Amino acid sequence: MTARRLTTGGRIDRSLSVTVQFDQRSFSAHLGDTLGSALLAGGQQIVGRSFKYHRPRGLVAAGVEETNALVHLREGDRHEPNAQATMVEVFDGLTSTPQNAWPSLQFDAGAVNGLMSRFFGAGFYYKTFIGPFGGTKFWMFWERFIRKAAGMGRGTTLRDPDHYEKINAFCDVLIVGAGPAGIAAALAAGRRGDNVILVEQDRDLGGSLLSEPAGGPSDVWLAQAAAELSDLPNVRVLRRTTAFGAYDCEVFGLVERVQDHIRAPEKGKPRQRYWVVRTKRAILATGAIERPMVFADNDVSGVMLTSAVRTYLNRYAVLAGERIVVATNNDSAYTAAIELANSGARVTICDLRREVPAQLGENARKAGIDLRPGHAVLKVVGGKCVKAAYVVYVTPEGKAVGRSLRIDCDLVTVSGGWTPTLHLWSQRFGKPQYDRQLDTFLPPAERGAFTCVGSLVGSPSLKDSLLQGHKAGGGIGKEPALLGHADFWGRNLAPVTVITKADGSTPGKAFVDFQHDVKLADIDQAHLEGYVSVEHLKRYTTSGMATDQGKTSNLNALARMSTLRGMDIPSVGTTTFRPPYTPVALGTLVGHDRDRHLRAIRLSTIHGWHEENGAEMIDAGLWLRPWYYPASGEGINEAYIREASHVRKHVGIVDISTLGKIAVQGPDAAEFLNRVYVNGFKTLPTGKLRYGIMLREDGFVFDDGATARLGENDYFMSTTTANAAKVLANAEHLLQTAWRDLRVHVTSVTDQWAAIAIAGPKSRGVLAALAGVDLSNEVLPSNHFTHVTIAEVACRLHRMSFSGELAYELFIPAKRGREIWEALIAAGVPYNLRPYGLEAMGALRIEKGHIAGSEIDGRTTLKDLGLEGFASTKKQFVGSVLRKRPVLEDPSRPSLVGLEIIGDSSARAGSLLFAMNAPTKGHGEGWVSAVTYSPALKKNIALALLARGPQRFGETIQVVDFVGNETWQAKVVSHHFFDPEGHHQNG
Amino acid sequence: MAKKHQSPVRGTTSDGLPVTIREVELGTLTQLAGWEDFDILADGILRKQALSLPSDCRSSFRRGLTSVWRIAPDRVLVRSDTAMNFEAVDEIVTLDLSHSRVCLRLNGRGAASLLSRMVALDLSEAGFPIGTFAQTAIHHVSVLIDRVGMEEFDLCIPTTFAVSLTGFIAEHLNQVA
Amino acid sequence: MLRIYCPVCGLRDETEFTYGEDATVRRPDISETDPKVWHEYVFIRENPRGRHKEYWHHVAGCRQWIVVERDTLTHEMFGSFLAREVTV
Repeated sequence: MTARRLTTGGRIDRSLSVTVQFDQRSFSAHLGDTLGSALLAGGQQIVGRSFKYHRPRGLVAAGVEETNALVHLREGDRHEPNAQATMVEVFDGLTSTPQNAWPSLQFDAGAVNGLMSRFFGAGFYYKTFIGPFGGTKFWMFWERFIRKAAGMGRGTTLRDPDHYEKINAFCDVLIVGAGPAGIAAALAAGRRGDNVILVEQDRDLGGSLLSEPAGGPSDVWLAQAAAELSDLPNVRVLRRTTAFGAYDCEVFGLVERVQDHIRAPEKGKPRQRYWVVRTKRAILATGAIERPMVFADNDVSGVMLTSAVRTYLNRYAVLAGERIVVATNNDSAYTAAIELANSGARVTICDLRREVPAQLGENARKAGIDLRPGHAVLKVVGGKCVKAAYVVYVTPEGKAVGRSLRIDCDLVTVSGGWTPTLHLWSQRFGKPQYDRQLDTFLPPAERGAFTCVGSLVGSPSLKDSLLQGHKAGGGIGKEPALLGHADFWGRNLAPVTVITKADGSTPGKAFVDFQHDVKLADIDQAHLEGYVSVEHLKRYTTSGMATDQGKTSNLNALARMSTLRGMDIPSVGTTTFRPPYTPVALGTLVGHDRDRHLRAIRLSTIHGWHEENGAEMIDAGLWLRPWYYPASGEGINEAYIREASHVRKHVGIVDISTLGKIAVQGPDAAEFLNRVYVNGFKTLPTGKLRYGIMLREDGFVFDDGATARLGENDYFMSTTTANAAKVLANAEHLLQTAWRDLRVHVTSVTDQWAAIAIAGPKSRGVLAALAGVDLSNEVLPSNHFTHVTIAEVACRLHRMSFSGELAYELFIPAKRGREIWEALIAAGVPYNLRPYGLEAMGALRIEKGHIAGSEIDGRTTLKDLGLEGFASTKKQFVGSVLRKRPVLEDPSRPSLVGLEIIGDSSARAGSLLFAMNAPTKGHGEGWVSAVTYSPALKKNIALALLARGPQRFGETIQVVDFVGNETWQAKVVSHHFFDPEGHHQNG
Repeated sequence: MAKKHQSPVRGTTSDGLPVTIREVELGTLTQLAGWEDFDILADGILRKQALSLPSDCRSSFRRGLTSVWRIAPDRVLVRSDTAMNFEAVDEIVTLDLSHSRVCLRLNGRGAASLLSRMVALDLSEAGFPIGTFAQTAIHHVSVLIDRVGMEEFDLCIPTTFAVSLTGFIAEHLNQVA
Repeated sequence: MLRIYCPVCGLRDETEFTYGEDATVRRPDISETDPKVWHEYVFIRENPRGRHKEYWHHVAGCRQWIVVERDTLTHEMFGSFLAREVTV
């Protein structure tokens, strides 16, 4: 290939020159160039090495369908793999390097894979897993080499210095593609007053018009249209923006490359922006992509799409070759061939049709073109670039007849017809219909809220495309008038793209999917092995599964399969496209939802104090909670053991603001509670609270917590931290569906109240002193509450114990939470009051044998947890019937027990339980749910669910952690380890 | 009071439009809820405070510093600068929620643009007129958004999410000192 | 992503809602004691292809449970009602 920049023409700004780097070579370019056009103009023949065989490859296309020119773009922390050189706008200082080539682009050691291609053929990966090479071992040996040799670009592990943002948008009409049809649609819809978003992946509006010779009538029309669009305030034009996904309910995902076209984003600008657009209707004007032809060595650098060569000529003023063979099966290549000839190239057209439309033929001959009807390219000659083509007379099926003729050339352009870009339509609606005349799949012009216009629906002329767009937009205003060439590809297309010898073989590797190195022979082999479904073919050969998702290869692969199976293409079928249309950087989808804003964090209103006082925090769902408050030099174990011991001896406070809290209000509130809790709530008097348990509809335990009766029709329910949202949603569901007759409102008050538990033998003293009230057993017995005023804040004090100590829960209006916490700390000084965290709270509750989330895990029943006594037999409640299912009544079900671990180390939660002499295989007889060191017992203890547990007190069992590969022995005991009579909490 | 975010935060959206985010006093927030005769009963109670029950769940009723939002067919939220003594009526339950929400005010030419980066609502003047409100999610947290003016929004956000959400919203601005 | 119409709040993103369950099953009366009836209610579902009614909870909005009629194959929506106003 001897490409060169022409001295005139093109849509580049010759007054602005920049220098770009590729493979340590400098190229000069102009603003308006892409990296691809700069490389072509600079004579770079090899732009990459192929995926499997490491064959040297050159540019094939000029746009989004480029399969070969994938490069590493930029350096350091802005390094980006798999950038398509044809889509990268040049900027001064652009650096790029080839990928998938080692040690260099010119000499690649991996090219030896090409010699082993029999080995790396279709299904190679799958075959390594099974026979005949020894299966997995073989795979594991080769994997290292294959992973190194194969693959696309290399990512960076450096932190991306740029930022990305997401934005939501709403419109009446979303138009994808600003070619002639899309622009016409936008003008008409905009004139009607619709709220319009027009999306164009290119820097410039115009689509195919940008490949017309500069300065022609289409430029005049384009300039007028662009001016009118920018004057319409209701039309938003998004350039450099790709609509990558079409989703249900007319939601679209777009990526706007806001600052990709410069070296580094300007301050305050996002590199890219992710648009989520909800539209009332969509007009797709996404055009069509030219199809390659398949013949021997069709991947040699210098075999390019004809349309791409035309784009390079007219848009970038680069003549891609001097001696050109144009291989076509349709009319559309003629305009390009004539323009190339007029630019000084020597052109031969091999048109595999024996009858060429008279006017086209005459035009070609007038331009000095050597026109060879009935001919096709059988094979290309050249190692690193095209040196010659063997052309041959072919049958209408593409089989060679007679001897081939060698034509020396430096460029072969191919045009095997066109494939409409129906990706978005297919993402939304599935499989399109095959059009026999056009030899391709087409979306219908109308379906649901989608209208398809222009080349996407095989529109036969520019004039038709414009009118279709105009009509789709609403038909308002002057009809667009612009005439194009009479070279519609679909009019006389010969639906053949595969050129073979008379016997059906190719005299060399003939590629179908360039990016994944899938050859004609691979498809043949897949067929031979029985992979006849198109879905299987795709996965077995990986055709169409590269980053380009088969934009140029799908139809050719299907065509080959249909030939092999002796069926037509519609009978073979096609695969469905999935988002994204082109690769999307994950950072763009993430936007600002990263690091500390990965998700919203919930903080108690006391959080600031915990932080300032050195608490180690831990995630609990969305909450961040104090885990422990380390004294100097303490680790977690020392800290929690100290904190828990302190509570048992003195007094401690813990922030329990995370408890779920629900206001249950209304005349039927008591009846409602009576239905959702297993125990009776109708008799609960005002001023008291009661521990209650809820079941799921299927009879398993759902949640537990205490509910206080604040007034006649006013209850305050607490739930576990984890289930707060579920309990509320479930209550709302029951009240709004099955129990509409109950006059009850439930409202979350979790955020209304901060909560502090005060636990330990001295808790009464602290509170009585602080609130200035008598809190004796007679005044405030267990399960009662009272209103107190602390620091002029009206609070509610519940007598309730989770730790097993004399304990209270103080509910404080949330915004005063920290004040009251600090008041407690201050008032607690004479009582030696200390804060404690989640870990100590866990230790205390395990010692006491109270259940929590690790026991209420969705697999346990009331009976399993030893709580059956709570269930009322006098009423029906949620889950009351199904909890009695025989399978849940099975006496051998694992039930709650305590374990005393023998020895000095702690067991691990999740360990499995086995009888002493039983083999430690399978699921065992139960599991450990929670572990702690018990300061009170001075032992390592655990809560566990063990088959027939309560009958096995005293038995020694094995506790096996298969993950950590450790085994302990433990004694089965009651789970009420500490103070089973409750002397402490009732004190 | 709960520690406020270091407000106000000033900055611009990536389109260069200025926005100020500041926490303002929420005041008193009370929920009234009822059943069959909610419309009549709630309206009666509100009228005694010179307020009235909005007929739909989109329009904010505003009178001085008091706003009334009908957040569900049978519930209404009243935000006021001072505590209101609502008349006790059978079949209407009242609930103090003053501590459960924090109010953030977004103000400036870029206010709607900033919100559109986080909220999946049409924030155009036609799609979200002044004097209307919406309950939606920011970063998956429920918020009530009241459009006070063309360039001003009040956000009621759950107290325990206030620090995190304020930071998240501010993260979408190029902040100026 | 689906867009779901909430009778209270209007058309919203699916992410504001949580899916509830099949809205064509009727919860037995609380006094029902026959395990078969409860078994049917909790476990037995039609899972139709095509039009189907299901509960969605507008959890980030008005917190109303709604019944949405949706085509399970095409995601076409045929209307939404407040669950409390629907007779099952």
